Amino acid sequence: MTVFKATLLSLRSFLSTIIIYFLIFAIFAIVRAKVSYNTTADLYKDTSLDVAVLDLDNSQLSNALIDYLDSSQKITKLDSNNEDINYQAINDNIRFEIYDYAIIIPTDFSEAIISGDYQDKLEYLASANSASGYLISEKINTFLSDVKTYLDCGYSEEDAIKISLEQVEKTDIVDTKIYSNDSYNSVTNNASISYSFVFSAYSCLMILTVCIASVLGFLKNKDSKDRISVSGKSFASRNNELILAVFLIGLGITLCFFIYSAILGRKQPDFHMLLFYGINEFFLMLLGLGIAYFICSITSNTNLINMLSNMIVLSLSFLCGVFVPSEFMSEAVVKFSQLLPVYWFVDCCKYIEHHDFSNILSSHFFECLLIQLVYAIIFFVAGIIINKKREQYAY
Amino acid sequence: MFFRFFSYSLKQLVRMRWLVGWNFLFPLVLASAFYLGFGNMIKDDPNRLDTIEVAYVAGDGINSNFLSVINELSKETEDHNKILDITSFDSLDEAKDALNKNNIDGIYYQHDDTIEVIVSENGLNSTSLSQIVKSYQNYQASFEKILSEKPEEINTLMANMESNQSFIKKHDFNTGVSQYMQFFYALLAMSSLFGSWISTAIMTNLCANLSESGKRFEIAPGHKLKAIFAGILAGTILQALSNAVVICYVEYVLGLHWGAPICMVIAITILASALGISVGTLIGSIFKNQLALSMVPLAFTMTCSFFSGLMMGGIQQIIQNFCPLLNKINPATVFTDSLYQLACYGKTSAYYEDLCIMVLMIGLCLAISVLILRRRNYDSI
Amino acid sequence: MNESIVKVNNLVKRYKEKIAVDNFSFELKQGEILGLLGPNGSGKTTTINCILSLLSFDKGEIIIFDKAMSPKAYDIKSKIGVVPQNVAVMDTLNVYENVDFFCGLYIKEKQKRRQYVEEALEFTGLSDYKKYKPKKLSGGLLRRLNIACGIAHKPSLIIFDEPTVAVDPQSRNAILEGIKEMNRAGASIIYTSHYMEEVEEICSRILIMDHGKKVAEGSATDLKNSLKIRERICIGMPAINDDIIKDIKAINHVYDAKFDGKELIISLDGGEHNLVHILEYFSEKNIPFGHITTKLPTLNDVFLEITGKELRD
Repeated sequence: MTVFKATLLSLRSFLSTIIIYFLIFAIFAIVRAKVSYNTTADLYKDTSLDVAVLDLDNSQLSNALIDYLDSSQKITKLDSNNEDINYQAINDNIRFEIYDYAIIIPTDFSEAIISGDYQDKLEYLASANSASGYLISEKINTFLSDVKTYLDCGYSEEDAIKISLEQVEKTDIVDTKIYSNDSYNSVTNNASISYSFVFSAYSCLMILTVCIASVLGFLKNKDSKDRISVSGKSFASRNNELILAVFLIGLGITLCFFIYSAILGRKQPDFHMLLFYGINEFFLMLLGLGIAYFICSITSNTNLINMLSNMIVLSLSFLCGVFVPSEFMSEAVVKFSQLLPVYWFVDCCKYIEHHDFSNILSSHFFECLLIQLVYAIIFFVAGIIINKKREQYAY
Repeated sequence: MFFRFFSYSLKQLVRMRWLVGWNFLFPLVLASAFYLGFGNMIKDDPNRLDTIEVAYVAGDGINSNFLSVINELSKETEDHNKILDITSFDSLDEAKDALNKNNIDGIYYQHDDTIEVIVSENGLNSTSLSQIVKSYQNYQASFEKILSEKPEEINTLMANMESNQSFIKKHDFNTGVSQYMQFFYALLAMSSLFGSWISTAIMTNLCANLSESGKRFEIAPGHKLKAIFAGILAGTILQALSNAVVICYVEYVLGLHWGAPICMVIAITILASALGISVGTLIGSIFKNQLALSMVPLAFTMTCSFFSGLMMGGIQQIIQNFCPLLNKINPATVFTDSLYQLACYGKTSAYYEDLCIMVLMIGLCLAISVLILRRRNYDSI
Repeated sequence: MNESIVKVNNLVKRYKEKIAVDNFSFELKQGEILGLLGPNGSGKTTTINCILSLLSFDKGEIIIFDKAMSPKAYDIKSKIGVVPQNVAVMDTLNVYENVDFFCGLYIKEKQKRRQYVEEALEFTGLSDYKKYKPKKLSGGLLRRLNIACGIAHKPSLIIFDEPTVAVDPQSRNAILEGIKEMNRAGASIIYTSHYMEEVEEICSRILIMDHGKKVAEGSATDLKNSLKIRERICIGMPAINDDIIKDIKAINHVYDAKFDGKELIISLDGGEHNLVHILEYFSEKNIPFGHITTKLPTLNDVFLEITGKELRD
């Protein structure tokens, strides 16, 4: 088992690479788990947005407004101790989607409403011309115009607020139904174990391609190759040991991702589908091994291996919906990405996420796996052809 | 002598195939992948308030007030485009058919004094459709309450309802730069930090503890630091050139605007290139192992780029909220922030702060490197 | 002729607990080729690196051209040329550029440098390979490039650190001839090797090192003359008994005799016509024998006698 041991031992040199890419994945998965939310349901549910409130007034009215928004949105109260409003910091949080909307209640807000000088009294920040901006502004206008109406009609401030709150609560009930044929592609999901698996397409493929291509590259090095080939071991036994070692490395790396994703997603609603995510991840591993073999057939230089791995895997990840959901991409790009293997890995994750244990084993599920396998074979065969051609030209 | 070192360093760097690939080709490939992945979102923000296509189906006992309210919303205003685009259908089935075909986003089905909202999926559009009904119901409730409790105030109520005054206004920075451009800023940061490879390659050739040619160099009477600085200059020029190519490619070929004058963007990336090269010099002066000299710059670049939002937009903002110091010591984030500040807010104090931090980092990296490299004999080689 | 070029006094270099160079002293005089001979790990390269100020040392003094050597002694360094053990060239530069680059570290004047580079390429026989990248050169040509880079600036002191390791015999001869020619042109040379034949061939003085210490010094003849054994006679024979060995040992000038199963090896400590006396004894006793070879002592014998082990161990 000399070749087997040597292959496993040469992996030690890439320990730092493995740790770094795994750490990136681990951090991403944790952050993603924290910001996940669920909008998927057969029943209609209002979209709940993250709204930041900076209340400098702290009056009865401003508190009522916050309570009202709190009933349907996720409210974050900003620290109002500073006298200067840091609009830029709030805007940064909006732009980077920490909040969807921020509202600033000025110190004289309550007085202004009562005195009638209320036009544009509140300030809000939202992405330019965004739907969330419209929605929350509409809610605020509705509530405040109720209060204003009741004040103008002679109700006391306390009564006006009380009646308005009761009224918005009552009128908030709208008979809204979902009517849809089952098109899982159109639904954006967030609370799911699938997120870590989707992101693992990047990290796991990176580790697999860089490490395995480098290990294979090392063994392809003329001197090492000659030394191994003059040893007493038969060609078949050498290759069997090599394949076994590479497969074992791949399996070990993939298993780390699988176990981590499983631990992180143990409380997610689709945790019971873990087995199917695992099967999908296994096929991703085969794809990774194929790409690694392909890369090492082109070069055995560690720097070039790193570059090609990054180019191939990062591009695949961006195009196939690993970093940016494919719903946001143009149709032409999605059509193009369907020609790429990682698209089918991501698609399979989505498919598992949206189906029950009982009806998962459909033709689409197998189709996704098969396409990944076919691509793995294509990469592998391409690698063999390139190797053969290079050997021909070498002599 | 300096010019000779400079020209030879340039010659050597240009001939390193892998280096040219990493620094010229890789950012271009990645920029293209970014463009294909979310160029769509930059040109057309997915969170933008698009006109919602809605069907209106009237059942028995139609109350035309609601129709007039939604008709109002289908007119363009100063603040925004028209919110609704209404198509009237005679039957609910026809409307549902249109919903199934994704021709419309939702249906208002008004019957028996109730307004039913039918949508195909949950989301902002659906919630907005629902909110319009809520607002309508709310006005109706106000009307009924005043009419029953204070009928004398009906004129005040009508005046209030007719008044289009808004309670809220937007605080706008008028940036006009998509938030997704952040990915491209991070791409430039990554590309600049890849410059660290250039300097480790230069250092390898000039230090006796890193290579045989380094030994030959150190035996010679040439000034080592002069040669290293000539190499750093050559590397910075090469790196800045590769960044400029990426910047022009994104601006002119992909048609995405950086949000700031292109010469300013190039000027800042020159600083970032120098930063990448200086970091590499420091790495080259600390590490002796050949594998470490190629792996550490890569790992450093990818880690910094990740935390500046290369793979996950917004992560730098999460860090900013929990541990802002991390953003200040991450060269990739400092650089992306300087471009972001310039594009969104102009030349703010934060922008100048970022530039100063970059200059400081360059100075610090070079100073430490000089201290380490100053010695010209070793305990072991 | 007697001017001192390099003077090393009581040099001590330690790597943690291990002493690599132990109180080592020597002197190189103008026009000399000094051979540093010793097995692998004896401290030759460490000594060279200390002389060149690449390595710091724990004790001692190094004087070159009558000045103390230091990392910043640029005036001294400008007169030294080094051909290191491993090929030290830039992979990305071609042959001409490599020689020009390293020569440029010493010679600033462009015209002069161009002439020197051309001469170095001519001298090493690389004129036809100017545009070749190092990777495209054979092992022998690569070694020559290594030499060209070290000597192009025409130094007065050249240090060769095992320049013939892994070189084919033809290239080795060319390199050795080149070194002799450089010496004739006025360069003083320090030549380290563990090949005693080479050292014997080109060096005017030899210094043998072991475990970082000087174990012997002198010309090849002086060193060999200092040996007790002056000659060795080997006689092929099928078998032999102890009485015969005892008789042979009793012959005049025979220092030692032993049978290794195939040959009788007789060591002699001087005298003349020794072989005649031995053959006379064989014919007298009617002892059959096969081939006969005689060997004069080598530097290996010098090393063996001093350290009790072979130089090539």
